[in-house]
Amino acid sequence: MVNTLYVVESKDNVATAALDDVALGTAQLRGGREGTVELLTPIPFGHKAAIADIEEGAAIIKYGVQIAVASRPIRCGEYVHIHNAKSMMDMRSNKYTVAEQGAAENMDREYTL
Amino acid sequence: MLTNDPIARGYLRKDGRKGLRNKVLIMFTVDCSSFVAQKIGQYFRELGEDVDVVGSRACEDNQLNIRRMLAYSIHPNVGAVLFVGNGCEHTRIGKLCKFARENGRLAEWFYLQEVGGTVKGIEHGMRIVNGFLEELKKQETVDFYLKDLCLGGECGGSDFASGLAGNPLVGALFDELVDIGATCIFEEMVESIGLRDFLVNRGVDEKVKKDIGDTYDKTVHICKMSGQFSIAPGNMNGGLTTVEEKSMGAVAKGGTRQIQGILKVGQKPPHAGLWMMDNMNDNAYDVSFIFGGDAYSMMDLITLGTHFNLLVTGRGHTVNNPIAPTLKITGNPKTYEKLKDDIDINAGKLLLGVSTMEEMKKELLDYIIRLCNGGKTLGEKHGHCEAEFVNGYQDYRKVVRPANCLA
Repeated sequence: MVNTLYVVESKDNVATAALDDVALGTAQLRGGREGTVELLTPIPFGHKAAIADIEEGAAIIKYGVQIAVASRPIRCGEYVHIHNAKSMMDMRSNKYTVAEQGAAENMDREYTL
Repeated sequence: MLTNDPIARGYLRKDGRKGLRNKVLIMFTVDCSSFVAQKIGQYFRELGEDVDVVGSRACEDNQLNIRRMLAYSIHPNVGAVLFVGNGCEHTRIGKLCKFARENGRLAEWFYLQEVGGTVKGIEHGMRIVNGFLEELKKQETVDFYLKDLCLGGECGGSDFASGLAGNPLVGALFDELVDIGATCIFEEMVESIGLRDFLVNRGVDEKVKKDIGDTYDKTVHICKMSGQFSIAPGNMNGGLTTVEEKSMGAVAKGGTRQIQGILKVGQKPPHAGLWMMDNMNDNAYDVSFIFGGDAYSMMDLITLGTHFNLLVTGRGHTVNNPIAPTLKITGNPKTYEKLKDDIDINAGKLLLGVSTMEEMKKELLDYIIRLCNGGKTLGEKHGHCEAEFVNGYQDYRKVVRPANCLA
């Protein structure tokens, strides 16, 4: 079982499940920072976990730059994605929700005649 | 360190560019002539000849599409071109043909209304193409050096791995190629969101810095007006949360060298080096006019004369534009396993730690050199051709800064 998360830059506050899904429990950090983080939720392959507590309205940092703003308080070890992180510019995509099986869907189009 | 020894044989064109293919291109100028154009192409493709069909379906008087057709007709990989029209449409193919001839290409044209319809049109076109093929076989080749290479960089269906492996690989190769005098062009101002300063600072001089800034502002303006930024459900399912995060990965394919300028559709790079393409509309800020997708963007990279386009995908891609064949790369090892038949290069080996960046760069360059020597991309082998033109608007004489655009 792979339990590593990849940190791109040392000042990032999120890390990526770059090799596979990562289960609940202790995960190893690699890359820009070494150490461990206690995951409160499983992290799907390719997705991000918070590796520090992030206040609502605070910057989410990856690649050493702000990639999103926290739309609610995020605890260290939590899954970070469109349910708790928003773009600073892209207002429409911020309305996307996580639908079935964790897939992102835009809810502002009608698929009926 | 790369050297500038000959890597292949090429076809020297009148404007000094060198082609790596000597294709016959059949171009339809309207939907009404597309069937006949496709039938002629199909006949020769089944014989194994290097004949491709592209075109523009709308019966509209569109300057941008005329520029695309002109640029395709003199693309370095194209040796001969046959224009097939219906007869009543706006696009005047006699003028396209004259331009192609003046630029040293074998070129012919006909209207279905004049030659007598479907059957006679197909027969007439086949005679012309047979003549082209005979002539092209007589043409001589010259040495082709790495510095003669012009590559396009595009990403599509990005996921988390695009920014960690696929795009950094392309960027690293672009840096080395630019350093030995080759030409590399990357795309996607729509995926540079939040990175205005980063790009502006890489402009080679003050004019270029201003052009980059203006193009960025235009792009953000269009995204805001249309309410659509360049991030789709698949990107999010692949771990990308915002367009800002996606952009950080996307610009990596442009490497780190200075940017020589912004090229709009149909503009040849005036000299070698790293360039950025802007194929966004200069007006018509409507969501239905933008983001034609990855095949659309590669279509426009080809108008600049790229020999091959490197398409970095995360979620997976099958597309190919045969005029400048598409070389598909993924940074995601799972995507590679799933779409092995379509993806040329597995940069997922970087994530898995089984290949170093140096090794991957060499693998990619060796693959490109094989393509230069007649090798085919997987998309070419499958016969893919996602290459049709879509209407748009650009003023190629200037970089446009919308008057009401907020910087």
